[in-house]
Amino acid sequence: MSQIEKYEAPVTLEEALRILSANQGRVRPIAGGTDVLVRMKRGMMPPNETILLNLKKIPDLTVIEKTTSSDGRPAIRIGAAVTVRTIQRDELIRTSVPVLSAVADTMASPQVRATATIGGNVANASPAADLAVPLLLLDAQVEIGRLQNHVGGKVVSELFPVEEFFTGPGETRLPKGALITGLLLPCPDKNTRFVVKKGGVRPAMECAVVSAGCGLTVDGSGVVKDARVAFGAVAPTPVRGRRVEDFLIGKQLTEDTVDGALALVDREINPISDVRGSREYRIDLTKALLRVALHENAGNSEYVRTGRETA
Amino acid sequence: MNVAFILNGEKVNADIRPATRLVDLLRNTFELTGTKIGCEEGECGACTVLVDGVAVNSCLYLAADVDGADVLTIEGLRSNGGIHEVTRVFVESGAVQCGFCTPGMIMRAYAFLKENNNPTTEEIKRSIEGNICRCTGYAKIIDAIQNLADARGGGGGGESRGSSRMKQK
Repeated sequence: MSQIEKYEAPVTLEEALRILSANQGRVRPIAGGTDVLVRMKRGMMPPNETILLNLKKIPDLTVIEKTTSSDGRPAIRIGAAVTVRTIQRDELIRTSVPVLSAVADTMASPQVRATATIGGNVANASPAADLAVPLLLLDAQVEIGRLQNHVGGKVVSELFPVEEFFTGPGETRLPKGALITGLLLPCPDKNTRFVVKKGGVRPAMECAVVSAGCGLTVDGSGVVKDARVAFGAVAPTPVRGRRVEDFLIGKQLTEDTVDGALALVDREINPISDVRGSREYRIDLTKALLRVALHENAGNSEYVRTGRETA
Repeated sequence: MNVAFILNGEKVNADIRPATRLVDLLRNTFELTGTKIGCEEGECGACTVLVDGVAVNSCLYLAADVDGADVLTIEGLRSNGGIHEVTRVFVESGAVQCGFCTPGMIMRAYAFLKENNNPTTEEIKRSIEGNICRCTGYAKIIDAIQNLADARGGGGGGESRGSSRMKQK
């Protein structure tokens, strides 16, 4: 911790970006601090980083508002410094994108949720980042702010599809000198249901061993019109399962359809073996969780659970 | 740098380093050692304090960030200068063994009951999911919180867990 020499708490995005550009490589942005302070404690901070840049005082980063997505659909913009606790409780989020609030409920602990932020979860880019799965299912976009000429000029905004934003464990497309300023979530229509299952050994305070989620739009005769599938903690980044999605479209959600979908999972994911589970276990667990998620999504009562899934 | 804030009802200020943690400010500068250091990674909850009424892990909170805030620690949780009812019910319910998790548990329970005065047993268990206890097995801690909710008139929302459940009058 003694490597830190300065603490800045700008009240505008422009001020924050100027501090970043004037001190390239020496600034560590911090919002909730639930990842940054752990790294500091473990001595894992890059040695050049001597300036902490608190982002929580920038009003635009804590706003939750209705907006439209780039293709004109109703959407929600969530400021990057909005806490997980707020995501659990905010009325607009709970009604427009309830899957995000549901996943927020499964994260860490009340104390961590009170300070951890959605921007931090995305910026930290763990392959197991909990909020990444619903963001993928919703086709969300990451909004970043930077200075026009990267080192000067006015503030400009750019959007990245979430699916393209994560590039590897702990790595994102965030340009040098830029900050994540918000998440843009198109609002799904009311006929689309989402279920996300987080698998592990305990119901709280856990990094997902595997996460599997689906968003299905089913017509009156039970045929899947649109399908989204996403997986966490089973690849270098959180991923969509496009082959599974294509397979599900046009079919009814029978046991055979689910079996067929699960058979494609092996080609969608590429888990490693680590302290939390072996590769083989993770492949099995992904299929098991996806099976439960699909059936629960379709309302098949024998699969409907309350509370969280544990391995 | 200097931070000015309200600590246990009093206006205070302190000189800090940029990366000073709230837990160290409380324990070292203010000598309020009721707040414990357990894991330093936000996993155990022993360092739980309230900032603006919300339970947080003070090991993951920068002291710089309490400037202008209202901070409450276990030492500040008193009733007319005497024992607070949350602390009393923990003691009387057998929810304290070594006592190390207790300040964090009490601060969390206090914050939880302010928001939910008629919790189910499941809600109580979820409320302390960020607080680890190595001694009690949690049963009597859950009973203590339930007992207090019942005593405050929240009704018998939870299932009985054993002898430390106080009988309704």
